[in-house]
Amino acid sequence: MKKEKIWAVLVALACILLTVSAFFADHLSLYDFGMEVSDYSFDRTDEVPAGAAATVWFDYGTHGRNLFYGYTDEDAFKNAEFFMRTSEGNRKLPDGGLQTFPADSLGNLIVILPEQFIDIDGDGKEETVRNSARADFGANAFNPVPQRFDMEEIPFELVFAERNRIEVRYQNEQLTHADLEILTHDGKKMHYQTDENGWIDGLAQRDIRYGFTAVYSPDGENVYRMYYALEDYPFFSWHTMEAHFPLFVVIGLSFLLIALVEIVRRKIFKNDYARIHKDRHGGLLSSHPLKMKTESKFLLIRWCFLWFGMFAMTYLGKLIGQGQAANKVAVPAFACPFNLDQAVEVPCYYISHITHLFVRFGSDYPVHNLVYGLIFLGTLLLFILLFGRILCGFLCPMGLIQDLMDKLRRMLHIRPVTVTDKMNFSLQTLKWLWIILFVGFVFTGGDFCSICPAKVFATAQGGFWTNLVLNGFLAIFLLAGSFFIKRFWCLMCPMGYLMGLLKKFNLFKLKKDCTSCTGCGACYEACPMRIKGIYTEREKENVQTVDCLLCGECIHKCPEDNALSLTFCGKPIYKSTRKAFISKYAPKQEQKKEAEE
Amino acid sequence: MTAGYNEDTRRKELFEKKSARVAASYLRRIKELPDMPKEMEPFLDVLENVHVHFSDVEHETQQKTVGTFCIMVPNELIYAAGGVPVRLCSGSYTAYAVGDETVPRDACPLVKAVMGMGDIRMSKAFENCSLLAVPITCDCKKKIAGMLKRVKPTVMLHVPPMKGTDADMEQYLQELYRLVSVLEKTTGNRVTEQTLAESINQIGYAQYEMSRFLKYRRCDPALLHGTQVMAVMNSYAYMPVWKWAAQMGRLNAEMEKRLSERKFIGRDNQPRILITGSPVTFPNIKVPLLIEEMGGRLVADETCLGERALYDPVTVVDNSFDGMMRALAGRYTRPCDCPVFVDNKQRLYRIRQMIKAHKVDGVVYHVLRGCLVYDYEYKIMEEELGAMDIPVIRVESDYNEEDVEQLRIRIEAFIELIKLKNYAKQKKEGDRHG
Repeated sequence: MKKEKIWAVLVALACILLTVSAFFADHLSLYDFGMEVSDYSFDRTDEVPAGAAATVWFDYGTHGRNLFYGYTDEDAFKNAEFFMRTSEGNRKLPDGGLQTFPADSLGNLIVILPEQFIDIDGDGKEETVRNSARADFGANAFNPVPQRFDMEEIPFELVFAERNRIEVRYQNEQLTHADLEILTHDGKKMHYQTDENGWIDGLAQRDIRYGFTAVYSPDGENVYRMYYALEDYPFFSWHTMEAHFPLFVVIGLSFLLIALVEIVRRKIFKNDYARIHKDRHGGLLSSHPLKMKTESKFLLIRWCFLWFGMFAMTYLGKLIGQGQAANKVAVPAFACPFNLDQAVEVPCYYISHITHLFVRFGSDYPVHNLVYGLIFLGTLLLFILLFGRILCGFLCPMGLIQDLMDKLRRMLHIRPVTVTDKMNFSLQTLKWLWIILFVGFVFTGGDFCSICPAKVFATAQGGFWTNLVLNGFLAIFLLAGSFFIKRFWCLMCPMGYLMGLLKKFNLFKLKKDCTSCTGCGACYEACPMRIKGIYTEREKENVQTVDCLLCGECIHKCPEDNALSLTFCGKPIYKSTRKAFISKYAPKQEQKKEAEE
Repeated sequence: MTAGYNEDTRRKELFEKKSARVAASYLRRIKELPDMPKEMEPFLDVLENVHVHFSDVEHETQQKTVGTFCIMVPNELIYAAGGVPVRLCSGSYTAYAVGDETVPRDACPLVKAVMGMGDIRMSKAFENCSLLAVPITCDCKKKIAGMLKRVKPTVMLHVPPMKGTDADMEQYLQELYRLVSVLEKTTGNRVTEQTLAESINQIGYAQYEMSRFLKYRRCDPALLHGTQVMAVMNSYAYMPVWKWAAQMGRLNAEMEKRLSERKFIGRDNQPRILITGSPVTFPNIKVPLLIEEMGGRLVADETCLGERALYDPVTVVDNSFDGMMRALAGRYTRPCDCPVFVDNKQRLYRIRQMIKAHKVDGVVYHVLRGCLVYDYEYKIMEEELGAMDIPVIRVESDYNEEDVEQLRIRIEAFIELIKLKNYAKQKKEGDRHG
């Protein structure tokens, strides 16, 4: 009783705190990388990037916050013009502009050299060449929305957008159906044609990210060249390592919180019978004689899937250097789309910023993106319809993180906080608050990503520098919470709830055979989502609720034959059996023989 | 003084003789049922030691024995504290006669027998107990808990009357923690994560063997006599669990051999009977015996000294000490379909499940006279079984042999009725096919 009251007060406090602090999320800084453009240092480099054909280029080195520039013709560079996107419009920088950047720079920089006359194609006639280079760096690099300059002084412009496309603009108009020559980092020369919207589609992600030069000649006499350098670093670089720093800070602080909570808990429940006795518990990390393990291929498969999901949604894209392999496909899981190197698109950004989704259909985004939007919505709906929350149980990287915290707690022999039905009821308020924030926060001018704890993990693992604000603090609570309560975040995950709404159409379902059930409640105890119906249900076959993750823990712990089963298209693929449950207690083979003799 | 002593001794000897005679005769009748597996004998020997020779249950000298009642006392905790549990729910006719003097007339015979045991002090298994653990279940148990307290140190466990909310189980968890501290004081040993885990493993081993055994028990045609099985289950009350489990393993091996040789105990069209209701405690095993002597096959029992005592395993979800305690609290309340719980629909589901699994033709509903909680549930059970077209008979009995003949007639008629019903069914099917 006492425990439940404390819990209700804690949840109420959390609700109020979350609501209030969400509006100041961006001001509560936990870890600041210093990603402002003014934090960057600028140096000259003589090293020519492999993909550079223009006579001017930008480069980043191996460590963050360094922008290098290089050129072949010093006279030309002296007369170069620099353009910068700032929050107050795009402007030309004064002479010597690289030393004095405006404070509100957005990190998109273009340098244009004066006209040069070079014989490029080797036909003995000199062409008029406009060499230019573009750099996207800092917090605004990799913005999925095209960051266009649209200035008269810039006749030829390349714009990176949509994470794997290049928009080509000529004299501030989309350059449609034009032939371009692209020189990539491995020295290959390729020809591409822009489509009716001025997009180069099909240029490999790797080629974009490692720097390339686009050459366009409208009439054979004028040639425009631009070298494009996105701020990107290889997987095994200090920059990627450094991206993990805030994660370490969060993990460290969460362990402090865990220790604090455990100490307070021991103090509060000091008189609670014989609960806390040091000599009663096994030592930290000591072995445990209880036979817990039953061979369950199903749970092994689930763990494999979880590791794969984590890997695919965080590291994989970066490691194979392809970025998002299938970025049109939206797989709902709680990874972060700010990590642009996931294997697939994660739709939470557009669900929490619905207004942005509509922008994509607007005039700024012609037909091309209507297709994108339709594919995005279609795949999202398909995944929710066909798979639903089994993705939470099998794929979600946040799920793996929480499961690992739970494993750690078991290893340390620390007792969990058991969420009783009353505690779960009060926790629902927090869940609904999250759902309201998830869908509606954007309408009050807020940004859900500033309070989303998933952003802390996925972006860091992807090697993207992300400043931690309120989401960092929430991530600490998440880690500490999932240490004591299995799948703590899933209990209130707004994304997961939306995914579970269409459970009726899911291919995977949890079924119960009510005749076989003895009502022992083992499933309820095992259920990380604390679904009580699974144990109290006596009539219906379908016990899957909107909360069910289909993680299979209940089936694993069920001692009755066929009482619980996971079905795929109506066919059971994993069933509970008494034999599987009880055979862990069987003596070893030698002992068995002895008993028989 | 001397005369009084002598009289007491004489009285005790008389009761012992009488009690031993009854127990021995029932044991003989159990053994006389044909085709008894050889490996079953050690179980019956244990019953003989306790009920005929009045010896103490087997345990090491430094170990303390803890008497338990009902099935809500976790034996795991007693083993973990270094004790040995003895289930003291008694079926002794002699002790019943003695207890009749101290317990009200309408109280149930089991309670009378328990009180009688406390009075005549003939059973060493009872006398040597260092502690009695009595769950507060039905009214009779509640009262004897108070009365036993005068005889022996007793710990009472409040069993929640309902199990709908988590708070009910939390309450029982608190009770178990209290039991742990009492047990620790009694035995002088600490219950730790290690010892508790080991005892869960041990009882798990017994449950493993038992779940294997169920396969042979369910066998159609029958491989075993149900009365013998019930005696085996009764012997669990007086045996250290590892011994019981090991012996069960041997029995399973023998049964496996029998099954492979297809050595069934009789014709396969005998009516398959399930017995449910009030506890069937050795030596009050007359109803099962009558069922089988009248030609029924006792293929299943849903009684608290039978299958129910060991059927449900402990499901440890979290291996911390608290996690194991929670698992125990859950296992000893949630799946328990003892009728002392307010809403006990679970028992209907369990019976339904057993009827399906054991292919039961008829149900014998055993009610001890004065056992109100079971009697309450007869009505609803009758309706349920009626809907399933399973014949049911309510059999009321007492701890004496006076009602045997009357019971015999009723049970015989019931079995004949099922035979006729089965015959009619077969004929109908035959007609349809032919």
